[in-house]
Amino acid sequence: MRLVGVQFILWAITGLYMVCLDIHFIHGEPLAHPQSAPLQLKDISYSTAQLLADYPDATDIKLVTLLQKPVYRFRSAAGQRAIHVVDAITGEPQDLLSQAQASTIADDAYTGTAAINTVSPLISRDASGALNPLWVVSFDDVASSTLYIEQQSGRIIRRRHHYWYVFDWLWRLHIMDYDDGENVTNGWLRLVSLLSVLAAVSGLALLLLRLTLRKQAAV
Amino acid sequence: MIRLMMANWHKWLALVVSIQLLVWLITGLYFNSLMNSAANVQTRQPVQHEGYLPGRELYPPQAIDAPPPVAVSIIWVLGAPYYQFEYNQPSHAYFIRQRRIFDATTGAPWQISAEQVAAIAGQAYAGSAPAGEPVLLKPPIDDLPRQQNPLWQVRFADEFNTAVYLDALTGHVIRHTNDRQRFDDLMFTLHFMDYTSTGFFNHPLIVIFAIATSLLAFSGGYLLISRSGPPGKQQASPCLLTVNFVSGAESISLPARADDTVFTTLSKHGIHLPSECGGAGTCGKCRVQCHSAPPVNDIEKHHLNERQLANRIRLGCQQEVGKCQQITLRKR
Repeated sequence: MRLVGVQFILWAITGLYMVCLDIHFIHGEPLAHPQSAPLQLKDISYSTAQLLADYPDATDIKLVTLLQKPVYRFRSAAGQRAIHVVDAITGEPQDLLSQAQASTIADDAYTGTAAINTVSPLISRDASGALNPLWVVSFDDVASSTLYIEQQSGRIIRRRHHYWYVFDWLWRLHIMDYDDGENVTNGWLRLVSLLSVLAAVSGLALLLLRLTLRKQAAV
Repeated sequence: MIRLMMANWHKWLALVVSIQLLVWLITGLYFNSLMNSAANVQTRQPVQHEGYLPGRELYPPQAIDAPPPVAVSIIWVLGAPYYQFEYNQPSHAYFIRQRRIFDATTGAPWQISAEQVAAIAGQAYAGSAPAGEPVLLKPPIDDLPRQQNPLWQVRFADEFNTAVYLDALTGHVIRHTNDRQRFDDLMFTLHFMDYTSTGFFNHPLIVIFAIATSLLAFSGGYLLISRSGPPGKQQASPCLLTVNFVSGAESISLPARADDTVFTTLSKHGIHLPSECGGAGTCGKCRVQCHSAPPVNDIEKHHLNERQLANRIRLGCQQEVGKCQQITLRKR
């Protein structure tokens, strides 16, 4: 018990934090409204057929509202980018999002009342490993709420606040993977879990032994 | 006295939490050592829905008779294009989705048929077992507790009872599951104490247990540390503990230091007083009768009554040999 006691305390308090704070809150879902303004379909004058003439390999085509305008958002190998945005009224391709545009998107989506603190560029990698330029917009609230906006698409792809970072670290402590918190099958955790199961089972055995001995003594 | 209170709390908390603690440890060890989610469903294979769009005459989405959506996606089902009008943008696909599907060629409202669902499920399944009829299920769905949308279910009669779940409107595959996966899900249900199938770990039962477990762990830590006590004083003088036996066995004298407790001195020489706490002062079982009447401390007052104290009954773990040099025990 002395060997694994500290980890027992860590499991208990990290588990307590994780079960007490709603996982959707931790993921920052309440930080930003989902888009809800209706699409101005009748304004569309650049048709899908025109889009496909310009971008024959377009896939995952979606009509959405971006900065008050209807746009096509799609994937295509054309040019230097993975995700393309084309104005659905004029057919003009949209450049990478400017800092000011990112601020507008973040401000519109943000559910809090705090002002924007900083807007800084970040080059990240997406799931497929491709470089993905982002704007990182952080707000001046208690939790340093931060929205990550894709420069190519204008989508908010990540929402972070202090509670998330705390959760992330507590998760690492919970699974005893201290570098990136992604390996639940690490050897340390295995060793300590095994010792802990032994400790718990021996505790149970001692309890049963005591209860049966007491019964014998009473007879 | 804090120790006594803690010990009492610790005992009752342990009683409440112990079984779940064991469940947490064993399921945790399972996640760590035995679980391999990626290998659970071997019969999964991708379905090719997408067709070639350029050259197709598409019905203009603005001409479709429907309330204005938030977004319109062009989706593919079995090689044909459809418009998916989205009326909300939930942060997870398992949250309620408000959508309408229209044929992108004709503009007519569309919903997948059971025959098409059967065809897609057949393509998504790499095994050779026969498929059951597609069934449209409403949530809650046993295999997918988080899912809030209706889904098609197609069961396959293989050894693992594979089931494929598909989107109610589009027939896109949402999830494959089988008995191996269900076993993993059961382990998560146990680890998260999710007996009401919320699919999550934020519910009152586990919060209560997590609080109780934290208190248990902290009180245990406190008891462990406080038991070790300060390191023994090296200058304590050597002395002898004389032990008489009511049973008539010959008295013995045991060498000790003045600041050793009677309890540890006896156990060093193979005489084990009854004890549950191992000399921590919490169980009150290691009673001895002293010849002198040494001072009584709070712990002894807690465990012993007036009559016992008057009879010079004390706790072996609370008395130092220096102050209680001769004791009587019932038997050797």
